[in-house]
This record gives sequence, C-alpha cells and structure tokens, in this order.
Amino acid sequence: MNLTKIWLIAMQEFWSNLKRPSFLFAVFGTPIIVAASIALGALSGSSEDDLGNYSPVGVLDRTEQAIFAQQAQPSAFPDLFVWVTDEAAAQQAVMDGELAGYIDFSPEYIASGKATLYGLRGAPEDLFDAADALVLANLSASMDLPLPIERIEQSADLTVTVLDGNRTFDEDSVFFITLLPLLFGFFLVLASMTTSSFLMNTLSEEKANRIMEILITSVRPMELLTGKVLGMGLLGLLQVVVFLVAGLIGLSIAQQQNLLIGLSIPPDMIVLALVYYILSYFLLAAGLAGIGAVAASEQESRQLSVIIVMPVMLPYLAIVTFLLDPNGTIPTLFSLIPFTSPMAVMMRVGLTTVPTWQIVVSIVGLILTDLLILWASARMFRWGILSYGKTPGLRGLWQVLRGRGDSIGQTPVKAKEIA
Amino acid sequence: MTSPVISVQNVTKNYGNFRAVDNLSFEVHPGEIFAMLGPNGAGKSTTMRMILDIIKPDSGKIAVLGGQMTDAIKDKIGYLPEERGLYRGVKLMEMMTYLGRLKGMSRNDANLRAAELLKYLDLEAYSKKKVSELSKGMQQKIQFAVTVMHRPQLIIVDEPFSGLDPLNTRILMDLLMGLRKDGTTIVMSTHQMFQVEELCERLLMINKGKVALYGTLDEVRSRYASHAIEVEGKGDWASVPGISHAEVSENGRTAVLQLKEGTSSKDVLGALSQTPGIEIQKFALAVPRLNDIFIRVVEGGASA
Repeated sequence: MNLTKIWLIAMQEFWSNLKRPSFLFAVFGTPIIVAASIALGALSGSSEDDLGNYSPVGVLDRTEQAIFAQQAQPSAFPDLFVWVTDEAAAQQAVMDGELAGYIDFSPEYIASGKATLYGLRGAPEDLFDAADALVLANLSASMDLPLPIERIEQSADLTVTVLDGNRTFDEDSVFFITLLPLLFGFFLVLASMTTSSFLMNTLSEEKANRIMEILITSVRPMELLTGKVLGMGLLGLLQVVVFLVAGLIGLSIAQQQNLLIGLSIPPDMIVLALVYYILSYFLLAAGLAGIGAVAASEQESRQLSVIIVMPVMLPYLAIVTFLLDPNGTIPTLFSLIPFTSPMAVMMRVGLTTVPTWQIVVSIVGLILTDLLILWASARMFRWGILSYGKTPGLRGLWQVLRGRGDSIGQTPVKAKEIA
Repeated sequence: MTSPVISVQNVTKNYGNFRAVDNLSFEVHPGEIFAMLGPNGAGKSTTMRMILDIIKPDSGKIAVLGGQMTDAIKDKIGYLPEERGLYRGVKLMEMMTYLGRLKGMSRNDANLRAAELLKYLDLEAYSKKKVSELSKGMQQKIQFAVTVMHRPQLIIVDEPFSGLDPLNTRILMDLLMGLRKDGTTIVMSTHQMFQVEELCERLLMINKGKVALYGTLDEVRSRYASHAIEVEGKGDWASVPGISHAEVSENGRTAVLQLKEGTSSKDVLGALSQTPGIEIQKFALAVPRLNDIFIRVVEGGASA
C-alpha cells in the first residue's frame, strides 16, 4: 500500500467534495437552518415564557382560611405577586394594564384545588410554577416552620454518582447524559449517510465518466478505496463538528446554555464515542463503497445500502429494551455483534456501566469486521468499477469475492464490444 | 537484442462462455509505434486491459517493461482509454496536477509539466476553467495531455484521434512522434488505417481474439501484394500489351493495372510509352492499402 497516494486521494476527495454546492448545503446549510430554528424557537418561546412581560399578577384570596394572609412571596419570584381584595378593582386594574392578570382563589379552592387566572391574554408557562410556589410559600409561612422557604419549595436536589467513579450528574444534566448516546447515534447515522451517499455519488460519477479506468492504472483498487473512504471520513468528522458547533451556537443565541450547566461528560465516554464513530464509519463507508461499485445505478445502490445500514440502526428499534434493562440479554448481545455494537455500546454507557470485556470484544470484533468489509469491498470495487449495466446476483457476488468476477458472464469491456 | 517492452505469451481470456482473447502472443519493441488493429469486439481493449493489469488473463504470461506489473511499472505507463474520462467539475490545472501526482510526480513537477503541455496544446488560457466548460475537441486534447503528463516510458492509447478535427489530429500526431523520438514506446489501437500507415512500424491485427496479422508494415503489405501497377494519367489502359485487367477509379484519373503472368513492370512501362493515346503522370508498383488488407482479413477470416 502506497500511503502517499492514499493520502493524495483522500485529500482530493476531501477538497473536491467540500467545494460541491450540494455538500456545502448538506454540511453547513442544514445545521445553520437547524440552529436558526432552535434559536428562533427558543427566542419566541422565551418571550412567551418571560414573566417580566407578565407582571405583576394579582392574588385574590377568597378562601375561608385566608391561606394567603401572610402575603409571602415565593423565593424564585420575589416581586411577581401583589395582593388584591376587591374583584371589581382587580378587573379594572387588568383593563388599565396595571395588572397582567389576577388569580382568583375562590372558597372552593381548598376542596377542589382549582384557581382561576383572569387576564387579557394567555399566560406564560412559568406562571403555573410561580402559582405553585406561591401556595407553598404561604402555607409554610402560616405553619411557622423553622425552615427556609426554599427547602419547602425545592425539597431535594438529587445528584447521582455512579460507583465507577467516572460519572456524576444532577437533575439538569441527567437528561443530557441519557440523550448523549442517542445524539451520538443520530450524528453517526446522519454523518455516515451524508458522506456515504457522496461517496457513492463520486463513485458512480467516476464510473460513469470512465475516469476510474485511468485511476486504477495509477493506484491499486484497495488504495483508491482506502483513500476515498478516508477523505470522506474526514468530511464526515468535519460535518459532525459543524453540527455540534452549530447546535451550541444555536443554544447560545437563544441564551439557553444554562441547560448545560452541571453537565459533565466523562473523558472515557468521549474517547469511546470517537472510537466507535471511526470504526462504524469505516464499516458503513467501505460497505457502501463496495455496494456503490457493483450496483448498476445510483437508485439501486441506495436500495442495496439498507443491507449495511439496517443492522447498524437495529439497536434503535430496541431502545425500550435498552432503557428498561441496559444489561439484559438483547443489549449485551447487540454490544458484541460487530454491526450493532457501536450503537448498542454507546446507548448502554449512558445508562449503565458496561463491563470492560464487552467493550474490548466489541472493539476487536469491529476492527476485524472493518478489515473484512474493506477487503470484500476492494474485491467488489475492482470488479465493479469496470462493469456497467448489471448487478451480480448472490452467486455472482461470491465469485467476485473469490476473485473470479471476470468469469460470471459480465464482460468488463464496452457493451458494444460484446459479441 | 534488447528485451521487449511488452511480451504477451499464449494469453487467453474468457468472459463466461465468450472467449475474448484466444492464445494470443506478440511482442512490442522499445521505441516503436505499434498498432493494434481489429474489428469491434476482436479483443483489443481486453488485451490492453490485461497488459495494464486492470484485468487478469485466464492463462498465459504478460511481461511489461521487463517484468510483471508493479506499482513502479504502473508509474511508467500512460494510458488513454477509448471511452474518455475526466473530472468534469474540476479545474484543468488542478486535475492534471492530481493525476500527475498519482503517477508519482512531485507537486512542483506536475504543475510545471501541466503548464508546459497546456501551452503546447494552445490551452493555456483555459488552465483555470473546468473541463465541462471546454469543447469536445479541447477535452480530447486534455485527455491526451493527462496520458503523457508523467513522461511515461510506455504509452497505450485506444483510438487516440477519434472525434478530432484534422488540425488537432496533426498536433497530437506530432506530439506522439516527438515522444517516440525521445525513446517512448507507443501502442496504439485505431480504426484509421491511414494513421497506422503514417505512424506505425509494426502491427498486430486481432480477429475474434486471435492473431490475424502480425509483423512490420512492409511484411504485411508484401504478404498481400498483388501483381499490379498503379498509374495516374489517361488512356485506354486495357489495350496495353501485358495488361490483363484495368481497374479505373471513379474520376478516371488513376487506375490499377493487373499484369499478365510472366509480364514484368519494366515490360509494361515500355509498352505504355509506345502505346498511342496514353498519357502518364505517375507510375508505381501497386502497394496494397492497409484498409483493403483489413477488410480482406476480417471478411475472409484469414490468420497469420
């Protein structure tokens, strides 16, 4: 293997595809649109949720026990509420814009728990939390407990520490820790789909315009395949980085970065994610390149790509089983089978402590499978790049893999030369 | 004697039940322009692809530049396939440099050589244009330039002049002749017999995968030479003593005169000068045209 030529092919693949408008749109356009929609959604959402625009709110206490007599403000919303005694005056204040609205705690409130908010428009979501906090604050004030109000409003802030010592997450970050493996899977599939479809495109293009015949008089099919897979892999990584950066920028624009506060992703999880990303990318890209080379048309190669993509996606279909019992038989089995292992292991590391031996077995299995798929793809590649118009059947494929593809009755010479 | 640049020995290749190449043997000598001829489907492209190690023979041996194909030998070969292929969306200079570097050139060397070739082919102004922006003729020239970018020792070209106008054909022919002068060996497949007659020293004609003709141009011609004289002028040629049959061209300016058994060309020249009403501008021994030989071989199924 000539490493210089492989690198040359990889770089050519990288730069020439990076200049394609369709690729630029896929890599930069899509995340920009996603980021913009997140930012817009968050901004519009936050304006609706902003209690600053919905203040003050009147409290009309008509309960028999006068439970709001202490006029205690909830700690999180210290200036939100004002007390009103007369309903007509409260209504007038709303009409005059002095109050955003008022909550009527009727005499039935104690029995039914139901209160009514009167206003001129819909209320922000935070007001519902504020109303709960208002009730708690006033109840605790009336009971005269020797506790700060905060302990009643927010009783226990749970921090989870996994006993392997690597992970600690609190209530805010547990969502992300669970979400991270799913995000990984999403990015993996998205990046692999984009890059492998471009890989198939360039292959069918080079096959169609016959430059392939010139290329393989300069380099070996295996070198060409490796270079192309490598170049596209770098593009895939670039795409993942762009997606992540765009996501962060989107959140930052929306001033929602506080969602990530407290989130700590252990380094071993990042390393594992990278290792599995790379190994699964090679599996997908090499497999799809082989399919792209033997398929008669782009449409057919897309249909055939399911053979490779489906097993990789399989753990997603069993996501409920993973959530319920991450160390069960199916998740463990999926973690050991090369095609399903990247997704399965990454889903499990967010949920449990995966035994080291399982990780080792899955990585070794993946490396061996990658080499096997690369080898098989190179065989298919060598045969397929000069064959036009027909996809080999299973028997034909077996002959191709045995290096006897020339004899399956499909001549690699021009169609018009076939006698 | 120097060892051959290409040695093909008893090579056979089947595609399923179809035998594309059948026990083929020939050699290509250093520094010559060697023609590979044959009708469509004869096995020329398959033979070229086997020489280039793109496909493997079922049996037989092929040696190129002194041995079996290696990466180093690949870098010494330039190949122009019949069905042309270029990156349509890539700029000329970038594409030429890339393909040159795949043949082992340094970036600097590839840049300089690409610029030199673009200048020679009068395409300097297009160096930053994409292939898709060029005319078909220009693309043909670029394809040719890519083939010779890395100054190969052996060039294998399949129908190199197809689709080119006479001017561009001449430019590329001159380029080929120049490379030959520098010692490059050239194997050329073509259907244009006049190009073979003008450029090539030796030829191989394949028909149905087998050798039909093989040797120098003169050897092949002499094998198919008829006992005839070619004349240009006017008169009643058939009335000349010693002539058995006169084949006059459509415009009546030339004729091929078949001589009677035992009559020499010298006898006919004497007879022509003494026959009244005959005017002669040209008198020569009739040499069979390669085109006619080709048709006779293919139609008659003759073999070497």
